[in-house]
Amino acid sequence: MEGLTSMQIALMLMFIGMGTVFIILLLIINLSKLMIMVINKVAPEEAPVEKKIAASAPAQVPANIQAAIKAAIQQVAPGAVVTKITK
Amino acid sequence: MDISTIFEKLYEMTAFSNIAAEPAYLIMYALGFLFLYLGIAKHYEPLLLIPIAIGILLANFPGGEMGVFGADGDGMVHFMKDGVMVSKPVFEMSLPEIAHEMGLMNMIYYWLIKTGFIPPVIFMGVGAMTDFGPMLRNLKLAIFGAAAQLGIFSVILVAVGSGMFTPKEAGALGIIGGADGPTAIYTTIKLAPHLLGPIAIAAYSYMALVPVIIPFVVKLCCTKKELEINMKEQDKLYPNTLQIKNMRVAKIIFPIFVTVLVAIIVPSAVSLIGMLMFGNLIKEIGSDTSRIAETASGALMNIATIFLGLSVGATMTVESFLNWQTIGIVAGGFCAFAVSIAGGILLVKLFNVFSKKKINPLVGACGLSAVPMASRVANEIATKINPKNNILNYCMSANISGVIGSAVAAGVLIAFLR
Repeated sequence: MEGLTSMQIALMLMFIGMGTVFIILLLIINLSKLMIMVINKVAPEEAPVEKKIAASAPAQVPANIQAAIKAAIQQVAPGAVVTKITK
Repeated sequence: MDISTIFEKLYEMTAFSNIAAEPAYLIMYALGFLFLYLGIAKHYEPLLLIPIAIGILLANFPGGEMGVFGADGDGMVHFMKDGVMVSKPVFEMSLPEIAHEMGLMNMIYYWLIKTGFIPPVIFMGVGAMTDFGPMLRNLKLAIFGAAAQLGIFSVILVAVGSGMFTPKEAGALGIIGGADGPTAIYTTIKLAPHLLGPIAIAAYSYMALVPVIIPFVVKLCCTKKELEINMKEQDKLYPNTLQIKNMRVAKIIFPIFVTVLVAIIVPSAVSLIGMLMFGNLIKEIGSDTSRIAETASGALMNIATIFLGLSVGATMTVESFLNWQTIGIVAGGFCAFAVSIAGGILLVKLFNVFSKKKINPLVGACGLSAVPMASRVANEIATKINPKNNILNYCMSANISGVIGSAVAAGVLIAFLR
């Protein structure tokens, strides 16, 4: 820095400073684009979130009990069709 | 001892005698009370202005030993002790010695502030609160964060040209245009610590005044037609080719690679950028590191802010504050802000000449850090003209990259001027 006047230092800072800021941000922008492209190739999906079986789903009635219910209904109302049995 | 000597002693014990001897103290009290008013009643950056205001008051009540004594070029401090002027090499003194000889506030200042410890800690907290998502989604707009550093370097040029400031002092003054408190303070500590008080005050005051300064500059630089540019419609007309499929991974890798990149190209900026990105990384990792992320953005940052505010206020003693340089800093700081905003806007205009996809110049105005206030103000201007034109996310991209830009600019200044 010796040999430079204060004004020369200020001018030099203007060019070097603005230049460096632009170069760094351009690098960040373009390398980020590259990073995104690589990520899109290597790990395209967000990690699946493990879902627990929804508690509100209707519980299934065991098959033997279903058969028993259907048989009982046939006794009372012959020919009736059972469409849904839930707890 | 007769009654009159007792009263005389009593008068000397209180601060009245010193205040009567130097009425300039009254100006400092007025300033302290003004900042208290602005912080409490006007809500201007209360988290900083209130500790700073109290720091000013504490420092300027003589006899309280709460004022910070700045070291001169040879590392010597000069202060009155028991009525005798003492000179000591402060950097060779131990902390208990500083506390004992010069008072508590000097210990805090030389331990936490002068070492440059606190600003990176605050930057870490800022990182842990920042979301780089908007920037990654609109990467192109991040370049305006570079253009909006123009104010820093043009003010340095003018300040040096005026002859009032040495290049080091001008560097510290110019960095106000980065509109970033910790960056401004860190640079000032490194380049011109004797100006810390006025520069910190100017930086935080103008950041509080962003809602006034941005509309002012925008009015001067932009036409209504430009402000009506609808970014979402432009996006529909010319859609981004690059879509991020896995944002979580991108957000985790981004801070790591920015740290490495900056560390290689501008090592002097790495204490700021590195800590910013570290804070951001522990936030983005999620539950594995959430405990330290919470501390970084919560308790630790608050502690740092308290000590920073109080000791910055305490540097503002009569001798260090009441001089022409302070007025130069207040004026220069404003110019730095205004030119930075204009720089961002002008680059957008240049862009619009060559590109089919138009950009709203308000996005450029946000290149001036001051996150997220600048974006909010810009979005307000846009939605005032057209309520459907919400540009907040686009502004945030330039806004966040402005933080990186000003820290890099600070790194350049420190590397060349120190």
